[in-house]
Amino acid sequence: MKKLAVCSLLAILVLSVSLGCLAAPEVISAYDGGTTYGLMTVKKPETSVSSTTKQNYTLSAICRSGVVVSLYSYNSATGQFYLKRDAWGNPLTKTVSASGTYLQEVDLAKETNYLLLRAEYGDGNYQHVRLDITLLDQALLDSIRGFAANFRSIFGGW
Amino acid sequence: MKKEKIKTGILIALLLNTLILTANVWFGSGLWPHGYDFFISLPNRAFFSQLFRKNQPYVSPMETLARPQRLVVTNGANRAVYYNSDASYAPFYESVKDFFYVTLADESYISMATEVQDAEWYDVLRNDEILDTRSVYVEYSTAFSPKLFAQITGIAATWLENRVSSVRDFIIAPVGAEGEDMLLYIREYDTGRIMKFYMQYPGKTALYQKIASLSEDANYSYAFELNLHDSQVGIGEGVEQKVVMEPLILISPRKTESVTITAENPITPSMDMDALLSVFRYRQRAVNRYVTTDGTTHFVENYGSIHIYPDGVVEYYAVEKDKGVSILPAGASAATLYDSLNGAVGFAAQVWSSLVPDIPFDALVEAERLEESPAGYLFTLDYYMEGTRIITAAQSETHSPLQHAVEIEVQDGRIVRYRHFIRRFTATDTKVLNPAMLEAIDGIYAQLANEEEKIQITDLFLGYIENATDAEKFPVWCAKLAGKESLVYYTAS
Repeated sequence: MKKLAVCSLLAILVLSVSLGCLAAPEVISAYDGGTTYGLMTVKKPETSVSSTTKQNYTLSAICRSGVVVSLYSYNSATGQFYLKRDAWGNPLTKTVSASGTYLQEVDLAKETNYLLLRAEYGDGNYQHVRLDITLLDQALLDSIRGFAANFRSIFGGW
Repeated sequence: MKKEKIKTGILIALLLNTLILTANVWFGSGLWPHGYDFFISLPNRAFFSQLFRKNQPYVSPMETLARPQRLVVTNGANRAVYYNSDASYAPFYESVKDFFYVTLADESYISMATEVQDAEWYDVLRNDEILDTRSVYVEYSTAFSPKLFAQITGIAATWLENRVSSVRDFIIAPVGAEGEDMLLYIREYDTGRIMKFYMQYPGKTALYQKIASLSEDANYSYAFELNLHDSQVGIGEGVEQKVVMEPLILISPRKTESVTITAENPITPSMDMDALLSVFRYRQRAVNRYVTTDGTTHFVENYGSIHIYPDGVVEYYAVEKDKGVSILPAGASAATLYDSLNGAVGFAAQVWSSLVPDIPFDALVEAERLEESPAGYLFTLDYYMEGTRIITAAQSETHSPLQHAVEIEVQDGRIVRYRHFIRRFTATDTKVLNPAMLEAIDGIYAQLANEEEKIQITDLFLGYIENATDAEKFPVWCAKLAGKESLVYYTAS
């Protein structure tokens, strides 16, 4: 009976240790560039610095299967990245399945959003990708286009 | 004198009565119930077929054919997808129909035309960057020749014939902040060549306002916007893309809700088949009717036979190709693709109405490409339920498998083989949360991982599967893969 209890405790300990290895940290330093490459290729946005008019933005990436991908946002007050959570408080962390496809919807603020994607493999290696996405106002763009159209009509098809 | 008048009156009444009864015997019930019947061939003659068609239920096959399978409306950051026959589809469809009807008929509406690169086609659809992002993407379930497309949309002749060889999808996009002009992009289906037309459309303001009023957003992205198509762009390297998607597949990271549906075989053994027999130009008393031990009802006539299986499959075979049911319009000398298609779809709608008169026939033609063929045509149709396709998988020991709701073989303007899986679908009050699209992609890849390292998904959609076994149908993800004939399904475990 004693042996069984010890074995069970050991099993729980081993499991919790391995889970701890894969759990995404709550905070990441802005200077942490990761330990490896080749775990993840971010497909959208295509570049580290980008602009969009879409507030409900979908990030996409292709990853090695089994990689745990987490999304962080930058806090300028502390200079660190914090794990983002959904409306129910769940961390935006996903384990990538066999297809290697990763999708994550993110609600962008009306400013430049400093984000970080972390891909972590079971061996403890991880990759960081920084994303600076600026949300532009569609109404402002429409006004600019309207102004440009008027300008063209006044100056004869410039 | 009075007596004479009464006698004359009685004689006239008797004479009329004789004529009416004779006509009734000749044309109504047949003279030879169990043998050769001269009159049965009359309804198949072009002249008489018009007389016999008068009593058949009204259907408009052209309306069925002219409906695009989906409309994707993009207004800035908002985007909505409307599938044929879902509730919100009609208002946008009316606008699109009017645009096509007006502009495609008259070349003078074109102020400028040019050929453009693929990148522009995608940029017009894109709504995530600093671009003019208002558009309606119009996609049909099959590719047409321009002539056939004009016919199904009700245009006598179109300038499209001189510009492209085949069409399946279009983009209508307003130009300028207030929609001063309309752009029409057409992708030639056979070659992928993209033509751009500046259109002077009179109804441009109304169409622009219709697009600009869209405020809903289900956060759909095209696969090309997410760079999940065959694209080399991205931040980072060293990861192989295992799943490649067709650029215009719409992807949402969210889970969507659907209703469950029930399917019922409306054909009962005691059902009156007069209406069905009349569609096939049979008269009930002029055919041999018998039931075999497996429950199949057979109606055998001189030139063909109808078999109604217990699972709801209705089959018709003509004994020879020139003895099939004529579907050509009166006066037509040759069977064009349009006449054959229009007649076949109309015929399927009549068969449906004769058995399920209380529900409209909701089906679309499923084919890669419809083109003229002197050898004949095989048209296939699938049922839709509020915009969701119903995949048919009718299997039985008594009949060969049926993969579509309707299969119609037409030769020289006559139906020579007809198979129809009759089902009455009803939406229930039960709503289910569908697995997210990403879960479906993972599940589909996992099913094929042992076979292939890399897969290409050419279409991914939610559909119901009707296999005549389960009473309640839940939506399942259906994937069409490059190089594979059959669909791959994913359901949540």
